[in-house]
Amino acid sequence: MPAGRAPNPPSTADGLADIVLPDHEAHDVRLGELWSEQPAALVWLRHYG
Amino acid sequence: MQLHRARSEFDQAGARIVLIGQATPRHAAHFRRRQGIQLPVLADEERVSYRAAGAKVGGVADLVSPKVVVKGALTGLREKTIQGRTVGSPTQLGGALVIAADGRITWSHMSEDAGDNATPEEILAAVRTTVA
Repeated sequence: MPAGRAPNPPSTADGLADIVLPDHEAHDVRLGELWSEQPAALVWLRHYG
Repeated sequence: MQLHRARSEFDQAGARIVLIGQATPRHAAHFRRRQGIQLPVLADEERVSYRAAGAKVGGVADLVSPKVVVKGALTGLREKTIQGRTVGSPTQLGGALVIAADGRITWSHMSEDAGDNATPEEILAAVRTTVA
């Protein structure tokens, strides 16, 4: 069975910082703000539940 | 979903934890309500952040191999949950990054297959190392 390409995380968050995503209340969040003052753990879900 | 139970520990460790899912804010809100999650959930319908984080798009073997199916069943039994309908791309895998305040990625676990997920304990340990 074929497998996808290996995951390839970056070494810095530069490419993530300027991405803006809506939250669960449809408020825009710039990802870089999440770790601007404290460390952040970002968890990407495969699916919602 | 186990991470929301560890939220206070992430707070005590001095870090923020955020979930990012596919699909829309409406789906994100529904997911939070259905799972009783208090963590912020971002909606990345175009999966831009998934690509930037280096998350894998799985092949058939990454999604339905015997190992993945068994692990998923065991997780469901342990957590007493049943996987709901997949919203978004079913081949998109997830993962986790811990990012320091200076933008360094101090730890990463991007899933190799559908059953390969970092535990809350692993993520929390990485956060504590980053904060120290």
